[in-house]
Amino acid sequence: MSHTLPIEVQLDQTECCGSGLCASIAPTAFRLDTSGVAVVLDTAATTDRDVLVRAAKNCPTLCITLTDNGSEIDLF
Amino acid sequence: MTGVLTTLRAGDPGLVVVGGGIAGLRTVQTVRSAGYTGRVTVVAAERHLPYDRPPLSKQVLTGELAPEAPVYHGAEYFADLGIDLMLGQQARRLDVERRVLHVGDAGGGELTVPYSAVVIATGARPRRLPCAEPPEGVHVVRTVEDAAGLRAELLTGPQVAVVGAGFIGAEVASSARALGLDVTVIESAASPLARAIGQSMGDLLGGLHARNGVRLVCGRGVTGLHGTDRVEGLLLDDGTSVAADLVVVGVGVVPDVEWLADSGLPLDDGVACDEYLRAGRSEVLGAGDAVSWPNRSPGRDAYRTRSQQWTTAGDQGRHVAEVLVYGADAAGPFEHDLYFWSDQYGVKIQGAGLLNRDAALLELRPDRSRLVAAYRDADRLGGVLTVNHPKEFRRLRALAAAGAPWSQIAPREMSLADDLSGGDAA
Ligand SMILES: Cc1cc2nc3c(=O)[nH]c(=O)nc-3n(C[C@H](O)[C@H](O)[C@H](O)COP(=O)(O)OP(=O)(O)OC[C@H]3O[C@@H](n4cnc5c(N)ncnc54)[C@H](O)[C@@H]3O)c2cc1C
Ligand code: SF4
Repeated sequence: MSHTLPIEVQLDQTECCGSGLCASIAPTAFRLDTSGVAVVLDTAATTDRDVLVRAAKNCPTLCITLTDNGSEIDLF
Repeated sequence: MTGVLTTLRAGDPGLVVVGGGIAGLRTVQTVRSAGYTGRVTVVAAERHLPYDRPPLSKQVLTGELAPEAPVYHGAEYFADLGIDLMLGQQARRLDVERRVLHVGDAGGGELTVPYSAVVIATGARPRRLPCAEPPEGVHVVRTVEDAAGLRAELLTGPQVAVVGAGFIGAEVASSARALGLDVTVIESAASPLARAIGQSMGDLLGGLHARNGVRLVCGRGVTGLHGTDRVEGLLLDDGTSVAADLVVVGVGVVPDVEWLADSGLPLDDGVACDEYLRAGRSEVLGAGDAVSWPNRSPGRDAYRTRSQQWTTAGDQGRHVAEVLVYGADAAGPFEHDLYFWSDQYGVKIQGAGLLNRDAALLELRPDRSRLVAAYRDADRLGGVLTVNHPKEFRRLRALAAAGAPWSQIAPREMSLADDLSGGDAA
């Protein structure tokens, strides 16, 4: 596999509804905070791209943005 | 300004929440974050810690998530918050005069739980078909056990019939199709989803079934089920039959409030709450799928409704907590745009506002991989529905919440017929 830059993961906490689905799908990238919103973990950078995309696509409010090499990954 | 929970004295029984779904969870989280330090007890019929229901018809059926309860938080989280969870225990009766909840446990015993304030958050359960069901092969999806049982049977490769083309029916059909199964959906209304999103958008999104190889039969009621030990098919009201060895019934839910029948609380499509979500008394409140309340959109008359959406249930849970801690005046009336989402056939549907009418299309890809629709409420933007377009959804949802005039939207309106000429007309 060729070396690639890590995908940048952003999460808009004002939109996050706290479903925790991202953490269920990608537990190495997200965690549901005790206050009930999700946070991005340091290990998100080493999480598999497909898993990140699945988490972002399944988020009920679509508040996760993935950026690859400076451009936003189109989820749909 | 104070709420019921801020006037308690040491030794008072405190808050009791009945139901451990998202409405109950948000209630207990919010009383704590609002500074209430007294006792909190949750009486919940399911054995599991509070878990997320929406994935049960989606990621759990497709196998993207394990068929275990997708819990929000572990047991230590509730212990740290000082919340007593009485799991696997069913509330049987509420005595509002004595302020006592009667609870039955699985062993047939009964205990009494006194309260200073009680929140009714018992949710809803799936409606069944009015005809006799063979003992095997007929499913509903509400609990993690339902989903795990259904998933196990889907893996045996059955021919599937889904009764009801609402959101849950559509999601189950989509998940079954994703597993490569032969799927037929039967809907008694002329158009799928018409009550939820209006006929024009219902027809458009209903087209997703056919595009993905699922048969959709509309305008046909199910009058019987074939099979004695195991289901063998459906009998429809035109005398025809649909063969199936697995049937999933998705024909709506009924609020779980029968246990309150002799409580004297107002019951009308669930617990009939007021605009502050109080059920006739200042210390009895309700939240989530179990309650109806007079909702209001900006500048409009109130109308009594029951939401059946995850986001509304959670937000109601937060609101009852605020009424209990800060008081009704400070918390204000509960108003909601009933936000929902649905994942089916690889697309994300998002909706909010008044959608029970025809909509104006602002954008549509013929294959429905992108759609933006606006709903008119007299001279204003009343609601929005999108497919795979979160940014536009957020923008229009905010405009609708602000009561934006329809004239701001109208110039972008496109004709349905024009756009579909290049694609199929479902
Ligand atoms: C399969 C599925 C998919 C869904 N998908 C979506 C979606 O994509 N988007 C969306 O917006 N909404 C969705 N929903 C709807 C959403 O899940 C509900 O609106 C939400 O769960 C309601 O929360 P609640 O807390 O009011 O009730 P519930 O989640 O039903 O929780 C109530 C709890 O109370 C318990 N209970 C009942 N009676 C008693 C009693 N007498 N004593 C003690 N406990 C009792 C029940 O066992 C249950 O655990 C979906 C629902 C299902 C079933
Ligand atoms: S899936 Fe989305 S809404 Fe749910 S917790 Fe994660 S970021 Fe928040």
